[in-house]
Amino acid sequence: MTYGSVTHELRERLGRLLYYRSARSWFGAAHPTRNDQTPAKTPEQQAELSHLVQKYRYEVLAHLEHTARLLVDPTGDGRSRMPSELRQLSARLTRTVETTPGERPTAEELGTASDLPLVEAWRGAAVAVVVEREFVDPAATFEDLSQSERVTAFKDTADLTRALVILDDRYDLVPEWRHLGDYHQRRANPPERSTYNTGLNNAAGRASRFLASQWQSFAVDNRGHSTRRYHGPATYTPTVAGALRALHDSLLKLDKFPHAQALRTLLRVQYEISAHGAALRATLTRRRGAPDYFTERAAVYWRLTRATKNISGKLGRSAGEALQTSRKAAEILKDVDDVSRDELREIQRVLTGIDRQIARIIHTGAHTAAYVACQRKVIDATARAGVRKARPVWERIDVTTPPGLLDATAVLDDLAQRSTPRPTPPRMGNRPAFTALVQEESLPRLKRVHTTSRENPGIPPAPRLQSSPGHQPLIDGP
Amino acid sequence: MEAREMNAWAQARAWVGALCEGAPDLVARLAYMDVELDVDALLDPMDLPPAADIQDTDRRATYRCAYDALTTLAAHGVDQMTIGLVVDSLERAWETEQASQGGAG
Repeated sequence: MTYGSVTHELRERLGRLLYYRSARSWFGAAHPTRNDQTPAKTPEQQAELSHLVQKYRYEVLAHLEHTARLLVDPTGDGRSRMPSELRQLSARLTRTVETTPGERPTAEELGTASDLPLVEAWRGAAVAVVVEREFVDPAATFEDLSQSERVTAFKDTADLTRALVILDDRYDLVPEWRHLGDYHQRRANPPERSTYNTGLNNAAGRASRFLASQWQSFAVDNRGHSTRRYHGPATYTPTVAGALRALHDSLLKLDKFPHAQALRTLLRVQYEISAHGAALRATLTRRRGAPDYFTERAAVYWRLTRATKNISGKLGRSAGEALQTSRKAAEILKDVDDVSRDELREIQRVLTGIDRQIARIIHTGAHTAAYVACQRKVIDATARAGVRKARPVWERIDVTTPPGLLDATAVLDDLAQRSTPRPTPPRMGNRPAFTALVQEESLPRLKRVHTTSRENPGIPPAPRLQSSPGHQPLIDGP
Repeated sequence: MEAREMNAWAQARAWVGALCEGAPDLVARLAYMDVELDVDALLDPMDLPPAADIQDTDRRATYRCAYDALTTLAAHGVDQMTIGLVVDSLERAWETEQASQGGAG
């Protein structure tokens, strides 16, 4: 049995398991919506089956953990140079195996077929894993893998892990079911459906998206070097920290966009940041619904994400200068502790830099006809092997054919130009008291009117303390 | 890509896109956008079937169509587990939308 055949078997079995809805009825309980159905198994029998399936699941989980560990760190010396997404998945799997209470199935349990299709599917998956463990040496299998083979093996592991987590959540009501990592309650992951093992779920999702991007063999930049496609986390928390995290991630990866589809991911992140920024500003200024920079920016990026739905092609130009912007963003991130208007101003300042770069990327792509849009398809006039194929019609995007795209970027460009805030000193820029002081200093001063002659200056006026919000003058002593 | 297969992919992309465009709030929009990107990641970007614009009138019917369009892909040689994962993402997005509407109401 080869790696491919084992993985195929696992994918098929788990794929089938994903189609079994209302898990409890597949364990022999009555169907929740069919009142006339009698349960096929007693609760005690269901609990026995639950224990058996947990053994099969443990076998599959241990296999995935072993595979991931060997792929990440084949030598076992702890000095892996794999990307962090993959190392994180491996670490999460190891932690889950350590904390999941489980035992391996006996030979008898593996050899006895069940009358329930769900249990039978789990048994098939466990048998495939055991056969591989007994007849294939995994270390020997992964030692001489090429990069693409390694990516494929890891993608399989990430997908299978996601499937395991989904199934684990579905078996919530199965008697005596113990969840992956032995969690007892669902963890709230605000923007998404809550799940038991959120950490493993997120790690598998991130690794899967990352590896999907690695498959794109055409993913080269305009210098011909292969690059990583951008993949941010699925969602960011709707807080200041989340918005800044998204901003930071997008900035760090901004120069690594090989093609237009990857650009959509960037546009999506920018939309998310802007929408969060609008919500933050509304909270701060208590002017909910008032049009502002962030709301306008979110609307533009929403239009851009929809307009780029059908575009493809190479990216117009890599944004090399984005690295400088990312360093600035990183500096800001160091100092921001709590949100204030000044921090929002700083975020706005960095965002306008990104707007300019994105507008330039899209415009360059359109002007050089690097982008193509696929709006319709035609049927081939000549049949091949008796079949007339439909093929997409790719139209080059230029100034004369805007599918809402160039229109939106023009707005974006304009937005970036007119909404740049005044620059503040780089070191002290986001300290509220200092910024207020700078603003006071930059106000036009009133001309002093001389009321006395130069010969007799009189009593000089007492200096007036200018009160400024958030800045209290120091008083020495009582 | 065969004509029927291309049509099936185009349908799936179009219905998920319709769900995204008609989503009531930010969280739901982002969730559907993730499903869109997941579906596109299964395809070669230079082999992307065009997704038509669909007017979203009934959310539940649109969701049902998107669900069916994704599961139909199994008939065109797409791995059953891959579809299961994408469908799960769609279900999550739908639950997110329902939860946010319930919270708002």
